[in-house]
Amino acid sequence: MLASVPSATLLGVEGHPVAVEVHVAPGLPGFTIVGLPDAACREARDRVRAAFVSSGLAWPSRRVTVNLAPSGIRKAGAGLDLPIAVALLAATGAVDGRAAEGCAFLGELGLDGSVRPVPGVLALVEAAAATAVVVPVGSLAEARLVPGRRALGARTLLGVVEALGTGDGWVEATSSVAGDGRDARADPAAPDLSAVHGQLVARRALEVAAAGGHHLLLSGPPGSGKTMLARCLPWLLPALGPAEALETTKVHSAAGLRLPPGGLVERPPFRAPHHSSSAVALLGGGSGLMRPGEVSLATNGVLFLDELGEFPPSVLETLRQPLEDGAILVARARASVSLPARFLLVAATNPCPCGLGDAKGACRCSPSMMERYARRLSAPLLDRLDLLVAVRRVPERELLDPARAERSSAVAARVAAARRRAAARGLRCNAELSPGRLDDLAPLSRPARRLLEARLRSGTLTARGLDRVRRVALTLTDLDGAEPPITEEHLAVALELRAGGDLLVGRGAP
Amino acid sequence: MTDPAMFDMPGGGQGSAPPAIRREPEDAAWVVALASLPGIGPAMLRRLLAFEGARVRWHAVRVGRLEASALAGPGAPPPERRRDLLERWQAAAQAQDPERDLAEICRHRIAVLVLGDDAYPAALAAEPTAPAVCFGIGRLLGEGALQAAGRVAVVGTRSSTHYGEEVAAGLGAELSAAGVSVVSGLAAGIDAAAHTGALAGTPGGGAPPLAIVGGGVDVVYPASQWRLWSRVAGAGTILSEAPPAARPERWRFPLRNRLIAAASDVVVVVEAHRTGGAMHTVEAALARGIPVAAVPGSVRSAASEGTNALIADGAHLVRDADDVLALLALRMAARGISSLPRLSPPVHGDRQAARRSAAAGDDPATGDDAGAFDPAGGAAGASGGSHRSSRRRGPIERAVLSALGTETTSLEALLGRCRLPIGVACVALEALVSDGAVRREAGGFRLAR
Repeated sequence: MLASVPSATLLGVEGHPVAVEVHVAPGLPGFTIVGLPDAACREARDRVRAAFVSSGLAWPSRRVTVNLAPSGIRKAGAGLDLPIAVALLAATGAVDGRAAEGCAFLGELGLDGSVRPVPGVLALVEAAAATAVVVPVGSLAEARLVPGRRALGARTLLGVVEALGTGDGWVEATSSVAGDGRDARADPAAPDLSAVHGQLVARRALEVAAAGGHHLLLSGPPGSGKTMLARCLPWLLPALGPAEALETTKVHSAAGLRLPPGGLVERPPFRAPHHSSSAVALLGGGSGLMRPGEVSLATNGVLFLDELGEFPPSVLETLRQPLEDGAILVARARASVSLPARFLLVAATNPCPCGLGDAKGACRCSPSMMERYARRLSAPLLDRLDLLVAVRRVPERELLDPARAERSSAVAARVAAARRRAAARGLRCNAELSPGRLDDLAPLSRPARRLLEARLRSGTLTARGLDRVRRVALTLTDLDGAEPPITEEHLAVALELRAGGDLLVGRGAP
Repeated sequence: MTDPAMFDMPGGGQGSAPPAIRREPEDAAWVVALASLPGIGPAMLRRLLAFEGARVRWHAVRVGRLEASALAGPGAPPPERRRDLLERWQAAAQAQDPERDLAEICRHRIAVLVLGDDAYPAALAAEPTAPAVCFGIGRLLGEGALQAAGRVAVVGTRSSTHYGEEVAAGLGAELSAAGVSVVSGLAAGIDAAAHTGALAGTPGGGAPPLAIVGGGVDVVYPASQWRLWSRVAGAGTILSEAPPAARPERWRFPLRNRLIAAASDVVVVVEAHRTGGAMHTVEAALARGIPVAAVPGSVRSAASEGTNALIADGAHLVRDADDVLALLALRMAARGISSLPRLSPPVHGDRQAARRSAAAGDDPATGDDAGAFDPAGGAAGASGGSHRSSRRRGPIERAVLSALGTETTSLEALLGRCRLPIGVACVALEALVSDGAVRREAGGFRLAR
């Protein structure tokens, strides 16, 4: 009269094993779920009963108690419907309990008895304490990514009962979607740098950002192509490695995002939250669910914040921890979870509140207005950006010329080579180079040292900016296929790629 | 904010005699009290004091016996607004003690100058819309601050360019050194640059600067200007017709601008947009028959649209301080005044150098007092501007130089013009910036003058 089926529940982006225990006893007919279920989980009762009836299975008119162990963690969502149903069938003897041994179940039940996909299958399968996992057919591709687990697909509750009875009939491969060989790189909808007119400096900055993992701020009037440039960035980054791909897929799956065919997110993601987003939407959290926020969804990819100045300062301040640590610890009363948040930040802003910028005679913002606007951009945040670039409007005649610019694929090849050089030094990217190792890994040539000394003396470079400039110069060296020491040229360009910040400082009063 | 009666602009300028206000002995406290009523403008105040003394008017306001018709006049608010105004005044007046307030003002070393007093600035006494009372701080007024060899207003936009600020600073320094008092409004941009320049000339015996501000003389606006503000008060005078502690409300600035025009013998606009505060000053100057001159600028610079338009309309063109001094001499001669400003000697080639040293030394962007300016002008400064440019330049630096102009050019545009690889261009720019031939500005580079 007692049966237990392994399953898992999601907290943040990680799965936690859950044992679903069902006890059927004589007494007044009833159905109770205990073990800290949330609202969606408690509703399992109604969904399971309807699915039983629709599938023609007998509903026990006895006292049914469902316990979700361990009872200390909160069980969220409808993913435990299927394990509850299977455990109930085993407890009433409708299926042989031994047939389900060593097999975990995940899935939401429809009222008609169908098995529906749930978010976070990748993490859940990883966490489930079983050698085989039965998942909804729609999540099969994702479940198969986990090594060491046999993934079995289920379409309906009745199908599950039959498969358990005969030991066969699972859907094991979804040939229609898995491995159709479509190269994500060849996506025709992908934005390509060859469509960007002019913008030599911004292009260079984009390439450096991609190669060295340097955070980037683009400042310029509307229509100067900031968004277009930012959208190109993920396609300059190399495809995700196996570990990165799994990490990103896990986050996307946990957030319920649509995964690419094949189940694995192989391209760096691009996330562009609107400036009205709340701090929770950006960082993750929410009551009970701990849904990953935009910073986590952008992990191993690009987080694009358009109109940086329009984001509430309080929200921008919260970005400092993920920028520093590559992860964000979201703590709530019931639990705290650490979510991955290692992203490349690209921010865009107008130079002044009217946004007209350098358009001839159009901008009439007073210096005090510009200063106030610049002050909205959090200085500690700007401090963490390596590249500050002014983007200009492209002159009309250049816009009409057919673009002869370099294609993204050519730039991406240089970026990949530069990243290999960084990897040879034991770095994930140059932006992570610690100040202590700068002298070892990025020594300066004599003219470069003189240049830096002159800049420091004249007060146009701060000690804090110095390290950032040296890291960017190292990335420029890598991109050119050269070896350190860093030449004067690379250093001069690195300095210039920070000069766009001047636009934001405001001229102030003499 | 309440919009008070605009000042009455006289049609013909010099001709009409200023209508006096009725004075009684020892009535300054009550004039000040009336001037401090909420929303009262200079025209309304003069109207109140035209036929009755300040004590009588104050009492009438306080007990609510003042007729709404007493406020009537050109530019006055409509009758129903007048009654509101009178009620507000009555409420304010009952909370005030004029004599105590005056003592408080004097305690803060703010001078109270009532029209008709001997100490009242001579420059404003002849003005048809002269303030019934004005307030001043600084080196006061009897000491000749307003009796310099002449007064020239150097005004312009707040959103100025480096070009405008340099020119304004240069004009300020040279005029001040020539014994001409520089008049301006202490706003950000051109105003501030003009006075910064003028102050650089003062230690060497230059004329004291005069600032006329919109809010109270003790209300520093913009607040970032406090340093310049105190230096102007130290070397010259700050005047305002707004009572102390009055906030710099929007409506006060056009009124302030008429005083800048009225207090000056010549008005020079350095940079101005097509509309804006500087254009108010120009209109006020034209209405008073005061010559208006303007500094030409790039036809592509929005900050020079107003000045270029003025020149096109017949304003005098200003290239340097000598152009202004000549204009001033003509004007003084026409008025029969003999103490002509000292024109700098027309030595060939020296004017450029003098101007350069003034602009370079008193760079408003640094905000620093660049030390003593040589009032004799010229020869000593000649080495200042160009002593570094003798370094030999390679072909790349020359190519970069030829691609730059006096307008700010972005790196992007520069690369397009000189077709150099970005690294090579950046190294050349670094060298040119460090030897002073090129200036780095927000958003790009330009040739240093």
